[in-house]
Amino acid sequence: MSVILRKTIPSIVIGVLAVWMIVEYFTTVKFFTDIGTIFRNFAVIIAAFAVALGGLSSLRFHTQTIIKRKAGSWEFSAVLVAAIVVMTVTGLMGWLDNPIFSYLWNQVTVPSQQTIYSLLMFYVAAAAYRAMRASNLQAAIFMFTAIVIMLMNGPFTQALIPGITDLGNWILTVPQTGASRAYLIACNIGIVALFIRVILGRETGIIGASKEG
Amino acid sequence: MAEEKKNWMNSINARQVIFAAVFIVTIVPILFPLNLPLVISKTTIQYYDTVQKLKSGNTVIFVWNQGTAQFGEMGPPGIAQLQQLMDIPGVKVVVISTGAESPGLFESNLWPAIDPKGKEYGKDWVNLGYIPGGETAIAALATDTWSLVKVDWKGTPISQLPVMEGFKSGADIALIVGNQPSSGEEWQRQFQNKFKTPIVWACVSAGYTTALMFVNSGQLSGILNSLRGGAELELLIKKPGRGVSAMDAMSNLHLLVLATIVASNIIYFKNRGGKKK
Amino acid sequence: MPSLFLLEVKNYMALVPGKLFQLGTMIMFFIVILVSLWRSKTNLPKVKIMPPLEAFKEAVGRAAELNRPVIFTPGWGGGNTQSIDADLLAGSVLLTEVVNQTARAGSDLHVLVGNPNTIPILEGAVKTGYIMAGHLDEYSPDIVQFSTPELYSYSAWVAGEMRRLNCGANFMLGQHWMESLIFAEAGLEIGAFQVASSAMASQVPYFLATCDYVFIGPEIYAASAVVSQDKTQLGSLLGQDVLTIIILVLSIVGVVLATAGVTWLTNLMKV
Repeated sequence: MSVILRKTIPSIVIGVLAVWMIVEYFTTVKFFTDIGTIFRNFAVIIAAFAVALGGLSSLRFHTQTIIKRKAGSWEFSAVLVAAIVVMTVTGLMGWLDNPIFSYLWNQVTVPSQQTIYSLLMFYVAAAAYRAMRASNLQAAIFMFTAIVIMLMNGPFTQALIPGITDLGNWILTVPQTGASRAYLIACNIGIVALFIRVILGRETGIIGASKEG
Repeated sequence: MAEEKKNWMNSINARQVIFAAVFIVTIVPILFPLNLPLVISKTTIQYYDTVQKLKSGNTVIFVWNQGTAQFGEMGPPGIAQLQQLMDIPGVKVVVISTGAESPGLFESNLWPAIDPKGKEYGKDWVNLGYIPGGETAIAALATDTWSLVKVDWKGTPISQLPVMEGFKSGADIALIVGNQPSSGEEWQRQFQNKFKTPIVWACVSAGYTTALMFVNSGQLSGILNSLRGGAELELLIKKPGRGVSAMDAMSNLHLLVLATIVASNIIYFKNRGGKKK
Repeated sequence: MPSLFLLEVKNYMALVPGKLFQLGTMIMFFIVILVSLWRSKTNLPKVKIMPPLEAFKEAVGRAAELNRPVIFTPGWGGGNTQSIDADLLAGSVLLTEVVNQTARAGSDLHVLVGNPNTIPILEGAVKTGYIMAGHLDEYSPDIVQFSTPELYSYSAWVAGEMRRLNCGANFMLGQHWMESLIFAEAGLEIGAFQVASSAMASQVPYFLATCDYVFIGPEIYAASAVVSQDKTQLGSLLGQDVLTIIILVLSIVGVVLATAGVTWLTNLMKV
């Protein structure tokens, strides 16, 4: 595929669309707003296809694993492919009103997802054991702050200890807010710089073009 | 025998002890409630008051963006938020999701716990379901809702739903009530920035500190701190549920983590003192 | 008088009310970045090499010595939308360096992906890395593996793969969200050398508690510029630093004025 098709045309399209949306954001001219609305609706439709792409990519990858009989994983891929097929078919046949879909959703999907998420509770406790050690002054301040916030967040300890709410709120609203805002501003400046590079066509990573051309 | 016992004890590491302790302190108060006290925080009261200011005829967007995994933490706040909206007479609610799993979770887990207080589907509330596209979809909703959304999640044309007559763009929205893992910055950019729409939010505890800075700057008018915020809101709307029942476990867990930190420091300084000698 | 003039400008340009200051700020951002990009053509800015970047060689070397593979995860995608963000692009540039180091060390590499939209970008990055190392014959499309786009399924898969493969080095560079602690704990459990980054403030503490080296916030953009030695990225890095200083000065001036009860700056921002 030629460079013009792979890099130049996508870069021009991205640049024109980006400039149009910027102008549309600032102006009250109806022409820009109407076309901008159409572009946004296009983007939503493309995003809908991207959702389907996720499922299809998963299906393709695991079907290939089954065909290649990849040792140690083809059996799990077979279960996944069967699950995709069953959930899709039963979902199209009534969605939550279908008893099979409803059972698989309520008794399998929801509890299993919550199980993985609940691992975080254990990991946070283990991370606190490892990280919260007053090995130097900075670590001691870090530990003290964490203890105050935990005492404030714990319903029982907040009710028990007078003044902890005020101290915790001060920590959250003054130093924490300042640091978070600085962090957010710095990260978003990076995003703005990326956006400007994309508009100028100087950022080809976004269209998957590698250095070899 | 003593050798075997010593080997067995040496094979236990701190992580295993901590994991076992977390399991025990969480499960015991769920089985045997302790009814520990719960203080309602200022941000929850601020949230509650903002929503209570709604008047009859106002249209509100309820953003329901939780995945199945977070439902244990964010389900109780979501139930309390939606119940508070249903409790206010005359307020119209439009439920929107920008996450693919959210509509299913709404239908199967959230809505069955709600008392609609006589509100009719289509007339007083509607579920528009999943709208793909993230912030682009939100921007499209804010600019021209009817050009983006043609049907509700059941496939009914929105022209047949009286509640949608009051929602043509972001200018028609009196309040956005959100329940999402993150702090909802995209809704602030697209609705609040353009139409000055007040926004109240509920997010996971990991995103609470980020969301708090938006409360301090006035971009968010109130925030619920995940499960604890949900429990507090349950008490304020006088409908205690799973949120309140989980607070004992939460208190215990906080105390356990504090004990873990203390133990870790004792062991650290003891080992450091031993090495110095 | 100045406010009347600005009102005339707004009406002439058919601007949305309250957006003139934002427009001016945006134009300033463009000018600063453009000047930095132009300047970088002849005068590349010097960038300090961050310790996490220097640790790449140590991580890969350790994995090679222990004869254990290297794992790279670009993250799930930060939120429900799974969009391609600046972090992912920066992570893909760092992936080329990881691939370069891994190929030279002779270790196996596994790239575990959770966002199917990113597969072409990451495959391109992996191929580029092997070309840079001079080991293009070792490249295979199977290096980039995708299992599921669902967040917690992806987390469980990656944590399982880390344990099954018993990786020696774990690079988590990109858009990490709620899966960060699950990955990091899995890596810590098997004793892997871990280097991570997340531009999401809420996830950085988890990485700091579990990883050997962490890029905090925008450091990943600087690291990707250093790795690529791309004049565009280095120039834009300089522009970002200039903008940060401008915002810092504006913040300090704003705080002083607001404390003194002077409101012209606040009013100017509302124009």
